[in-house]
Amino acid sequence: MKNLIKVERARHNMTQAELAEKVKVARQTIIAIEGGKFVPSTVLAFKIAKVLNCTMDLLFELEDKDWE
Amino acid sequence: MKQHSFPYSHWTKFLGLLIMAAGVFSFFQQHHKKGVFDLNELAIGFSWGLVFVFFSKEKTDDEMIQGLKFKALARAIIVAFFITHLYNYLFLNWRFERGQDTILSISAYQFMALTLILATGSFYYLKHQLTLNEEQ
Repeated sequence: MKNLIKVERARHNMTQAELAEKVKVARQTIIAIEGGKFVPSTVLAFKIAKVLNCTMDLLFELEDKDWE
Repeated sequence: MKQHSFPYSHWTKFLGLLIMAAGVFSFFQQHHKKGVFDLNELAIGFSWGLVFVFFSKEKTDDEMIQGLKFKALARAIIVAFFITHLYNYLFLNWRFERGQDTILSISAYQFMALTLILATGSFYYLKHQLTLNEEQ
């Protein structure tokens, strides 16, 4: 799953640590999500979208390989 | 929607390390007193200690950490079971005769210690792999 967390985070001038603190996860989790190595749960994805003040479908996008 | 998958607080990791240290101390004390290396003595300390180390909460316990721990534990059980079975077959039951001998095995403490050593190592390895090339 592709995501634009890094872009939106930069737009809000927010560090990974700040975002992690706001959504109550470890910074490593934000790093893994941004790197596409971990797909967050629906609840966490909604929390991230809310903190970054954007919608879920703007933040996350399915890739072809997700359908395989 | 906060889920608490692991029963022990973060500080119990230190308790676990203390128990492991006590196990190592007891292992060498037994050797000093009796002149034997009793692996069970070591395994008891390691298995109890690692229960507290592995099943305690991390500093920030979130869904990724819980997922990684589950993955590490699932892998460790399979690998430890395979190693145990292989060791039992090759070293303890090589000349086993059905109907005459009883099947020998390593102790439950040794199996538990092996499983938890593999699980703990695997967990920190997976965590490290996920955060490689991190950028701030």
